[in-house]
Amino acid sequence: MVESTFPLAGLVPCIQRSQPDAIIRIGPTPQSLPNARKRGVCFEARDGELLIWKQGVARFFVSEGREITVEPAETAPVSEIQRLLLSSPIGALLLQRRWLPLQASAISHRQGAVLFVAGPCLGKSTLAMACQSHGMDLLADDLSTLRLDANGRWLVTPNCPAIKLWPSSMRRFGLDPEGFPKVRSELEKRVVACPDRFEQRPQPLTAIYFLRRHDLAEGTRLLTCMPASEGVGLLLNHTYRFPFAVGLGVHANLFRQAAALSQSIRLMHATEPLKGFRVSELVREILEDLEP
Amino acid sequence: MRGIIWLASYPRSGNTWLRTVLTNLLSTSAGPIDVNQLEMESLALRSLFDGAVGWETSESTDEEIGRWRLPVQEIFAGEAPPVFKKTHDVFRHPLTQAPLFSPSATRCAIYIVRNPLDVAVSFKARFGTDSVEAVRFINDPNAALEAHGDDLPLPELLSDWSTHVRSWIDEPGLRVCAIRYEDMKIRPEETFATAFRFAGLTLDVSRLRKALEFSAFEVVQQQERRHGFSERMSARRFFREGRVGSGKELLSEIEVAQIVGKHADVMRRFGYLPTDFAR
Repeated sequence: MVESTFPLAGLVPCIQRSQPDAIIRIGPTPQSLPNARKRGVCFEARDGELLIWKQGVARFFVSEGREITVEPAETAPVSEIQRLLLSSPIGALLLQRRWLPLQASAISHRQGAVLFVAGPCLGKSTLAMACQSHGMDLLADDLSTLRLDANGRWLVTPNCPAIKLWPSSMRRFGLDPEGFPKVRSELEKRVVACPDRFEQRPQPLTAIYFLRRHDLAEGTRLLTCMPASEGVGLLLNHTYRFPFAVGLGVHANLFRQAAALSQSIRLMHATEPLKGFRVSELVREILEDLEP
Repeated sequence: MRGIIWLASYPRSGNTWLRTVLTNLLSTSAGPIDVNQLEMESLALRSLFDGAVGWETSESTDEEIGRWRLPVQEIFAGEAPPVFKKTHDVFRHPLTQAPLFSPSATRCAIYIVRNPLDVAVSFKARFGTDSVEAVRFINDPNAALEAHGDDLPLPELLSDWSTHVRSWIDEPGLRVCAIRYEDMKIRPEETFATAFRFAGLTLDVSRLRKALEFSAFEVVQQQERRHGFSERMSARRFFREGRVGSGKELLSEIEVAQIVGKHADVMRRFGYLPTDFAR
């Protein structure tokens, strides 16, 4: 739960008033972070602090897993600042809190939360969308967050009630892209809001499917088991903004989390064939796989 | 020594083979490294680019990605050496002549050149086009490997074949070792050793021999059959044939003439001009 003086349209408002996990406020940000451990093109990070900026839009200062300061550029549209805020700055905040943010979409199944982990543009949002059309609710798109609860269970935290899709994917679901807002005005990628098909409560994790594209003969199963040893590397590779973790000095914690997670959760490869769109078949196999 | 060693080539010219040999050479594994575990990632790999920038390229404009391109290379250049990166981009933008590669981030380049007649045949098979389209592509000064919104890699600007070759091997101030694909096939040990020594690697010949054995065409073909190849973006096989001389056999006389007509100067330079065109 975050408390924000910056407008955050599209998120689920909190009904119960309690202590927020983090605060988002508007204010000045540092010009730079002296002694940064990691510097990227648009970010600097050191223990407990990350500064990230987008020229002409905003600067964001993320500190101690508790606070994000937003310094908007003069003429920047609020929607663009919000879009950025909910990506890398939030990812940094989660890393600072020692949670495990992954490049993954997440859906809620009656067995628990299911993650679809993949790099950019590999179909995780499309698969989440397909699962929704099979009656499951969305937990997160693009950035999914895991944390351990007091009983040692891995929980997946809900994110935004929306899925971002390219027009080609939307048409596969019979959606006309023209009827949906663009992620940003210069791009064709669209935002498909799904407030009615969104799970608002954290869900215990039950399985992780790592998406990949390969050629497969017709009739070949799209799901294959994965050894835990392979899972550790894949989880680390798909940690949301791993270079941030190095800069923040929390990467050793990520190794431990990835190792623990891969030992305790069912890990599978899910293959999207290079030829032919078989997402319905993939969802069917996932549903079969999830049944006890 | 700091800086990126570019593994550069026009597509379908043996770049993946070079990376396979290099990965096996630098590995201590007792067996062949899987082609899906190749190091020396492409500059066009989104996840790599995103990590260096801090923002998602999939939600960025071409203008933004273009603006970040050289600074991203500076970030890579600061990694622990040796830093190898694969690229298919032309060295300078054909219209603006602006460099697409940062001089200060670049240590040197290994550039692979392959007979464009064979490249055309490989293109045809790889991308499922006909010969006419393949020839048109490698003669096109605006040719690019485009990402269409939801495709995985970032777009790569190629230009036509000879502009691509010249852009790398004639770039003033760039240390470049040009090797021919045909020599990689005929004299692998000597050719790869020349390239790797140029890149500053201390070479153990017995390890190079082992790396070549682990990277043999049959080995990678078998790996692709068994596990697929993650860098392949179509249903067609990536490791297809790799034969030298297929262009002259499989292209029509008109298609050969179209390629030679466009690229004769550079083809002559590398000994690719068919005898019936040589004067």
